[in-house]
Amino acid sequence: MEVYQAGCQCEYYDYGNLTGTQIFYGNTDCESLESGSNTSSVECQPFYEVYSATEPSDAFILAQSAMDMPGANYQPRVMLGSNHLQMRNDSEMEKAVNAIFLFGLGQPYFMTDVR
Amino acid sequence: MLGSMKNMTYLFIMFLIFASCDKEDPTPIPHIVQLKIFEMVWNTRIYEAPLENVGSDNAYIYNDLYIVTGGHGSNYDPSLFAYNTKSGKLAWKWTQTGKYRQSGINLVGKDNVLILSDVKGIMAFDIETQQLMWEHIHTDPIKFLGNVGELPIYGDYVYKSLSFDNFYGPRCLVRYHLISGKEEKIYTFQLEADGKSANLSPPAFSINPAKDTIMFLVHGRTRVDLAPEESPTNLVAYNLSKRKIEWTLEEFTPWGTNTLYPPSVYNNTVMVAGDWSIYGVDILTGKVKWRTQFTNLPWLGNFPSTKHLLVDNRIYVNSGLFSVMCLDATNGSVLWHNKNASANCSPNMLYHDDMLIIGSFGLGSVVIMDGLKGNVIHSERGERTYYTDVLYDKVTDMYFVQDFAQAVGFKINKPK
Repeated sequence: MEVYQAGCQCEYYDYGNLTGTQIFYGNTDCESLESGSNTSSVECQPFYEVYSATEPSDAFILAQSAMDMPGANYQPRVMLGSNHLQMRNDSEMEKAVNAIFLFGLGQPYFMTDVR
Repeated sequence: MLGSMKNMTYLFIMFLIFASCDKEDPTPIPHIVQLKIFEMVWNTRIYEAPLENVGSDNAYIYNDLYIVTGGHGSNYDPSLFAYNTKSGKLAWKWTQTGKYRQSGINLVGKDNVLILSDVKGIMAFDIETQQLMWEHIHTDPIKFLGNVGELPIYGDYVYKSLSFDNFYGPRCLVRYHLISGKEEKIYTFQLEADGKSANLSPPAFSINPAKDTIMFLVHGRTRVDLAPEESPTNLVAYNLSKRKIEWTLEEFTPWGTNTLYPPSVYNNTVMVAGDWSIYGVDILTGKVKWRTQFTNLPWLGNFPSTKHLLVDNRIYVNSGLFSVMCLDATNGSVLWHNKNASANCSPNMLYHDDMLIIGSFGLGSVVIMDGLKGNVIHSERGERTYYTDVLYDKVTDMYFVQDFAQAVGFKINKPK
């Protein structure tokens, strides 16, 4: 979430009475928009908005962090339904660990002798 | 005059009554029931909540029984559960009493003989009598260790690949007689001079022109300290009748790749997965006839977790991640390739009614695909992750699957 200046909000006065307002989006130099005379004036202030963005995640780890695994030479395993907190101790992880240490993911490297 | 007017009024009312009686009932608006594609018929908890069950990916149907295994680790239970295919009610539960006492990674069967196997050993169970038939413990005392790849049943035997001493030791192909359980060593692949171990797939079978039985095995040559890309793979044709190697296709790929599932045989071609390709090899000569590459796949050993499925002249292959492909088994041409269908498929895909049905434990879903076109017809995610093979029973016209909590019977209402 981020607060940023979206533009300037200017107020128009005539004989000291507020007669209107206007927002100039994209303009950040609010003083340049101001003017005045004996009977009327324009007074401008920065206008702020809140920007928010939702990054894909599993509600615990950002997807961009979870998905990158440079140098991997085994196929990744997809575990939908388990986020990084749940997967520490859920049935999906039991199945994945079995696949790695009993099946070796089709190769013997990870296979572990029974003790 | 008044009387005749009265009579006319009565007659007119009678006419209206009769006229209204002759009028047809309004046509009822047809009540259209939109059938769910995945129609759950029954679901039965395997254990009482909150216990879950992470059992074998395989299951077995015998007569009106759907048979599944108990859990491996977190809820260890060396039991078999048999559910009535129609009602889902537990017909019986049998808990092992022998030495094996494992829930089993692999579950295969032939008629009333059910085989359970994992790294510790192998056992046979008679479904009719609910009795242990025989068992072998590989690790007591340690003579060799079991593989956990598929267990092909061919004729009266079930075949298993075993390692001596440890997983990197010499690899031996062993078979067990289904009824007697007699163990027979067929062939041993020794360690190589440079330390490469012999990782061995389950065999595929064919009969050659001389009527000999030929076994085709993927021979993964892996060194413990080297990566899969430095672990070449051979394909071996072994004459089971003459007990000798017919030919060896040396290093058809430099990448270590799937050795958990057997190749497939169609006419004179044996098809095997390697790296990101499917290879078609001439059965008689051992020469590569065609290689179909899937360049969208990562440069790794793909196809590690699912057996190829041969239907007529089409071979269905599952990369292990999302890609599912259908190839023409005669020449390897790609009939269709769906790049986003099924993650982490269970060991066996099912083909029925021109549908390819996949238990996808990565998606936690039963994925139903059009077997001829390759599009996903429906994907049904289980309450607690569908993760096993999907089985079909012709008698009930029902399908069966498990999630981490329950056995499930369902119908598929295929859209017209």
